[in-house]
Amino acid sequence: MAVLNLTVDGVRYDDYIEERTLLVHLLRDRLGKVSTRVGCDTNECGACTVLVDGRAVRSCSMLALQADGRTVTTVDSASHAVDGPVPHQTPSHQAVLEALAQTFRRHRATPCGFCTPGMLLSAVDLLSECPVPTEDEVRDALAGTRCRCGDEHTVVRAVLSAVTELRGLTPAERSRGTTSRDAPPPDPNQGESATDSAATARTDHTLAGHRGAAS
Amino acid sequence: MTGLSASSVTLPVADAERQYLDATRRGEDLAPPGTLHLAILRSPYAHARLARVDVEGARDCPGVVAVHTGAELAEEWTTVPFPAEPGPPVPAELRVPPRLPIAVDTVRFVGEPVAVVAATSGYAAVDALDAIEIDYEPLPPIRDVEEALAPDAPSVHDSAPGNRCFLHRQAHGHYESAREHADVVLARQLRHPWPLATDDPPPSVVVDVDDAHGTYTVWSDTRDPDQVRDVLAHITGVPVTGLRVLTPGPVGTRDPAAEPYAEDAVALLLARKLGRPTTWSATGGEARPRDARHDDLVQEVEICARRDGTILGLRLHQLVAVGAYLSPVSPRGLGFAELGPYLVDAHELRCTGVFTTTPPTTRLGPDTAAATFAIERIIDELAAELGLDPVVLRRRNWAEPRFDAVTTRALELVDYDELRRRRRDQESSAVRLGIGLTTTTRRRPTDARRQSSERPEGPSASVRVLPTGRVEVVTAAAAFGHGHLATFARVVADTLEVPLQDVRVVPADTPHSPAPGSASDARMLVLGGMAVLRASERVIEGARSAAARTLGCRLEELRYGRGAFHTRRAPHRSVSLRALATTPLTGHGVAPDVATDKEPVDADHTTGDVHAAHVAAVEVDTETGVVDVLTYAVVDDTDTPLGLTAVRDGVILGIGRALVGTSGQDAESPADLRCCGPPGIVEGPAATARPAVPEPLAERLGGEAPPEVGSGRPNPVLLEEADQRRAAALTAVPAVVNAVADALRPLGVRDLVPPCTPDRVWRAIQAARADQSPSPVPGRGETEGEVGDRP
Repeated sequence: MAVLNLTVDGVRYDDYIEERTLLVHLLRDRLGKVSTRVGCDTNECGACTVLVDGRAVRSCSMLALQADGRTVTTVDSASHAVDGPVPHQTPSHQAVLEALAQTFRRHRATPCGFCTPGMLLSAVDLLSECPVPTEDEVRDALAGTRCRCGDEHTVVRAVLSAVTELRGLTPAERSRGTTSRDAPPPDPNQGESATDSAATARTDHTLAGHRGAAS
Repeated sequence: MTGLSASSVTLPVADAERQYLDATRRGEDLAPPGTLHLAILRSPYAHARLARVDVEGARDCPGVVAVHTGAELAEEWTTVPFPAEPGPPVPAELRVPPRLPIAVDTVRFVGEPVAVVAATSGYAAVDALDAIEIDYEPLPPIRDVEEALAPDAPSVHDSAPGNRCFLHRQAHGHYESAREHADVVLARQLRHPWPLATDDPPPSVVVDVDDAHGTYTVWSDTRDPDQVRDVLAHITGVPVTGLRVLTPGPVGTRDPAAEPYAEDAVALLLARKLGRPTTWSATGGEARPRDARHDDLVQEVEICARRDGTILGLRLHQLVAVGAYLSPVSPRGLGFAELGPYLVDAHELRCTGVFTTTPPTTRLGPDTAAATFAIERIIDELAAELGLDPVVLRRRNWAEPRFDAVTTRALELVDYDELRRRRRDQESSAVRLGIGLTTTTRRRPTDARRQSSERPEGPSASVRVLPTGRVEVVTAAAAFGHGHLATFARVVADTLEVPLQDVRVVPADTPHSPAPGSASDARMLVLGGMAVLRASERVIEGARSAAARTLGCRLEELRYGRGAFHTRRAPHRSVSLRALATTPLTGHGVAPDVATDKEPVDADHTTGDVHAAHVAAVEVDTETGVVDVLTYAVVDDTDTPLGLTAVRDGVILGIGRALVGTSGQDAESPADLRCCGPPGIVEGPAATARPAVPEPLAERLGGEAPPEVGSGRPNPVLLEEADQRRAAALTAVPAVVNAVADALRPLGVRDLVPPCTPDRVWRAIQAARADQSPSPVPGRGETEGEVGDRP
């Protein structure tokens, strides 16, 4: 047993763990961060990607002890945006993750959702290094995260779309971490149980087109 | 719900679905406290006798609660059933050898379970596997179709001599007589290796125990909970009523998820024996060999034609490895596809399934995609043989002249004549241009279903209007994270003209399923959505007479709109569905039938065929084998309001399969790698080693007008997006391979096995150069081995 101190999504965690515990197992089994997936166990698929001190790493290939004293970010961290930015994160990280989440939804880049957390965090890492990447750079950055549904193209589109959106923000807005929360896209169907906007948009399109054709 | 946690980020789902799932979780995320973790010891041999299995050492390991061998459990379950569901016709000759979830005396594929450990933690369970001692006596492995059918091949199963599993035949006209009248007979042996589906999220299962009632809840990574329930009930003897099977969340998108995993049965049996919840989740290495599907398909195809290009007959014999056992999934895909848009008087189609010592596959046979591949490839080869333009050859054989429209437009889009001219110019240069076509006809999914089965298939649905005004939709479609349920909610809201927030969708949950549903891969949306649509329409129809009585008018005076019935005579009077549902509760008068049950999809509507033409132009660097896509056009005539994004995405996926995807069949890989080999790359072109792929040019010609919603004629194309993508992907593969073959034909390369990676293409060129074989004289039964893949 060894002592471990680390910060996960803004919350400090101190405990004794077995030395051999992998970071992904710590996150999933002890901290309940099940958005961190176990995909391949072999450093191939990227489903377990998290940010350690802001850089994307494969948590299946890292001992939890290697993250001792560091900060770990999963996609769950974005939920803290409701109450303001997570203390340990740079504000831009927050904005980038929020913006990416929005464009992923809008582009329906989340087919089965398994790889999505890893995709998002890989993209955050990319955009923090390279705020305006080319398409090839996006592809290279995401190459290590495998989409089982074969939807890389929509993911790339979503990331590029987020880049465009983030560029449209003033630096002040970016540092406040207010991408889309302040100005949500108008959704007439937003009710107490409204569907996700992406799915709604899709079926709206379908049915509207259908009606038009039928009448 | 936590803001951006999995639920909100990763699922484009209706609130109904979100409420139910709470997150995009997997079975393993749901294990209740005190759950025992299972670890399974698997065979490292493809074929071996188990001489000794000693688990005593493992029983003493810390944290271990139970250890069992296959022999110890043999009496506690029965063999895995087959087929698990009624489906297309079972082939005439079919042998179903017994299979237990844990091997008893012989292992027949790498990864077959040999023993199971239940422990208090995952780490403890895996540690205990190391203390199990096993003596294997290796037997000769049978790796592929050719080895299985060799005269002196050892048998995988004693009950299946010659390793033959099934033979399926389908014939039309007299092929032999057509052959006699033909001027040209061309035979080819093709290989259509499927990508291994190893990229799926590794499967997992959780079994929860309710001791008080003797019931079990199984969270299984399946798309068809009804089927898993029936299979598990059969294997373990737990009554069907004591099993609740649910799908936890995303489970990937391909077929492996359709097989009721043997591990589900192991987890259920141990939960029952130990009286505690159990969970198992595969490690990547564990899932990989097991998820392999039929990557071994040999196609012997023969075509005969007149000199002028009139095709007289086609014979296609497909040999497919089913693996070591029959999967308990019905023999789908055995029915052959229609022969595309061609008029072929005589055809003979055969499919032979053979046992090999490879993991069981979830599909038993080649499907439309494989048949399309063989037909489109041989037609291009025939065109070359006859010295005809492949377009001319196709036009000469259209079943109906109207098929020409999509092809003509696709050729215009790529400027076919110019491409042909450039191809001639480049014939002596190092970079060769090649042009490939695929023209297909496919039936709408629902129509195809009707062809293959008398019994309507597809997830059923029921729609019920509650007195609270809430509309409850129960579907047999599993919520596996593709947003189907959101779409279903939308369909119901749109049909009943009620607010979306009043609609609740309950996904597959075996005790509540309206009727057993077969969730068929990419067609969930089409089939399940159809059922929901029809069930919604039935609600309106069913409430009509009650509404007439309430309003005191005749049936024909009723109009339905905005969730209520109105009468023409008194427009201000109306009665809503909700009111009709309320009346019986309050004891007033009518008892409306505002519920429908068991509305399986049936296909009593026909909407004609969809035609599509794909044209690919590629440039092949003959010195490196690198293939770049120069231009690609796809034109179809689907009468759908959907955009062409799905088609474009599908084409790119298909190009990826044709050029990038690997299947572990590279000749230099050790043969055993086919069982547990390199990761299959099934993705579209990724960043590294990505061929140049332009955005495909896509167009849609006006088809038939879609039927009106509410007219009693459901529109089967309404929800066809996923299906379109899939069809485009599968059709793109032969188009691209045809193009590569076209570019290399002057070099003497006769055939290529997809994916046409630089390595394979280069070796095919080298082989052709080394062996500038004379033009073969095609004759009866003569086939040509493919060039390139095999030394």
